[in-house]
Amino acid sequence: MTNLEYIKYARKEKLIKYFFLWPALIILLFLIAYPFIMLIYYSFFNFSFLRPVNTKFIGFKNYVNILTDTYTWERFIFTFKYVALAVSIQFILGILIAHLLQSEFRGREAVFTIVLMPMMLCPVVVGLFWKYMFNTEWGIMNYFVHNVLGFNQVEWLGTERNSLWATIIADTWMWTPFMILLSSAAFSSIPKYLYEAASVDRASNFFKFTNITLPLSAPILILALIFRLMDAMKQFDLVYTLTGGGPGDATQTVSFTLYKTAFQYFYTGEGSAWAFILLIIIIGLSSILIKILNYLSERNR
Amino acid sequence: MARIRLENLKKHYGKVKAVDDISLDIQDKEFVIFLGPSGCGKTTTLRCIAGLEAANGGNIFFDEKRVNDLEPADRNIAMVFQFYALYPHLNAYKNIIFPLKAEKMSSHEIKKKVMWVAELLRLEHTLNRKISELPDGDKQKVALARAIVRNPEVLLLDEPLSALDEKFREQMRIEFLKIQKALSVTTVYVTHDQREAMTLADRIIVMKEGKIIEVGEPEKLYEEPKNLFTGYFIGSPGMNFIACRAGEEGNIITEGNATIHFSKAVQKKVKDISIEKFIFGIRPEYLYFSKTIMKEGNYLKVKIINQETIQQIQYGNFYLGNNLYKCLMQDSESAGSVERYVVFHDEKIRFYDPESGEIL
Repeated sequence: MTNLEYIKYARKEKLIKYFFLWPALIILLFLIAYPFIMLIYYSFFNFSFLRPVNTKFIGFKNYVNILTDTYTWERFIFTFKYVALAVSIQFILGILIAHLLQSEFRGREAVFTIVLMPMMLCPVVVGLFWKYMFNTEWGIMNYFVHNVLGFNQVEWLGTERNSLWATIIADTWMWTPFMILLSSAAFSSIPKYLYEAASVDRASNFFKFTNITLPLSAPILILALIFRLMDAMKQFDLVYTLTGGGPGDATQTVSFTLYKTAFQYFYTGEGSAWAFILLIIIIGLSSILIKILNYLSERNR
Repeated sequence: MARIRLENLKKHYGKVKAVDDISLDIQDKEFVIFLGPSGCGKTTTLRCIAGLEAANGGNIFFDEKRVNDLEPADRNIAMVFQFYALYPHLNAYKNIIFPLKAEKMSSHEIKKKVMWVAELLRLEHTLNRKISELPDGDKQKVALARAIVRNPEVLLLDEPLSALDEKFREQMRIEFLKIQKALSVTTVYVTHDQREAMTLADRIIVMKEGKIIEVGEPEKLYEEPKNLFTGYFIGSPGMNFIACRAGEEGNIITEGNATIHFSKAVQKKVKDISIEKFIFGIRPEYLYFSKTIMKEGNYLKVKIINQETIQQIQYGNFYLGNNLYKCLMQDSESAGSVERYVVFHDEKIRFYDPESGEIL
């Protein structure tokens, strides 16, 4: 190939590259970058989607309004409480069940598949059928509590405390399988000879679990935790169908509040500010965990 | 300290008999080496002793105690694995103290033990380093330190040198010998490298296809292998095994119809051999080229094909029939198609039964 031919060829290559690249980039820009920029933009206006007239630039007023409102802090406290409880229960339960599933027994694969099923359902569906199961009069949970255990019927979705736990139970039911799946993957990637070495070194099963299994699977476990935290912080659909945020505002998560602000009251500007605050919190939390993750991966290398 | 006794030990994987009914007595403080080609069952035997594999039959005794049903942790053994099996998330120091921590030893005791073992293996400078940063030789040293730090009754080593470079091997071999003598711990070592076995072992156990072929001191196995396989496997180059039949006057006729002339004493021995075809075995190191024949000596006339140097020693190759054999070569000897006599001493001659492989 002569120089000139080569240059021509390279130019053509470049064109083809862009030809393939741009459609995807345009779609991405349109679907992610544009809304994101608009979100930040609107968060500085008293803009309402339904009442576009009289839109004014108000600076940080939306943020100030949100952050100085005690209602906001109640919503955040509830959300953090819910996330902390639900995710830590799922985390511990997932690790324990995955550990149990490591041992060989008949029908292990079948059990594994069944255990993973809840994760495959849509959160809205999960919320709906847990709503039926939690029904005070004819739900199966109360049938169990009342007719089998002999306690009084529980108002699962009726009180503030109960509905928090009802949400946690439904969420745990749905997302523990995710922790099981990732924990299992982490556990089975640990080479068998390390356990053999540990057996010879007279380590008990508990010592092996705490000194080999957990530290070596920590990076994946932390990764799973990050996924779950990010997802739980944004919890909306399950709460929407299960409790509708009730009773009152008791189970209204930050996302739910955001939804109500933006799409029920149509305070689009304030809703945008909400969304941005939530985003910052999630990025902050994740970056702390990613630091930990990097440290652990480095250590295990 | 412990004596190990294997009694009709069997380990099968489906139809494959990895360990096929072996019995063996290992003395207290003895250094024994299981030697054999890959797949001969030596590692499986070791893993059965360790308790990492459950035997399908037979018994394993440590002293008078049957240990078949004991967990590895309850056997007071330590093991060094082929690929170190070090804990990657812990540094060298924490790897070494792992068995001590598992035993909940006091931190004061732990420190003393580590100082002792680090000094013994000259590991002081590596203690705080990450495993992935250590050179292979040091990795295996750390693994050895982890194994002996607890003063186990039995030390098991599964091909501990095969993952190392040649330069580390030499060093580690010396290390093993020193440690074994210093601790006087009963040691079972598995290898496929006959040189390792020859330099380290008190006794070598030669294995093949799940069975013990022969047990003995290294010199004994080298000098007088009771089995063709031992002669072939031990020593480099291996023993010359020449298929032959009895000829006139107690001499023998080899493949390719050459005649080996024997001295009177050997001729008498050959006449006593009852089977028609047998195998004449002699180590290349005990064969010499000569231009003349000594009276009353053993000799065979051959043509030297070429010469070959194995571990700094020169050998001349010659054909009998279609097979190549080796003979020690003096420096003065010229190579390439010359006719010579091969001469050798009476006491180095061995005869084997080709059917059973056993010595006659």
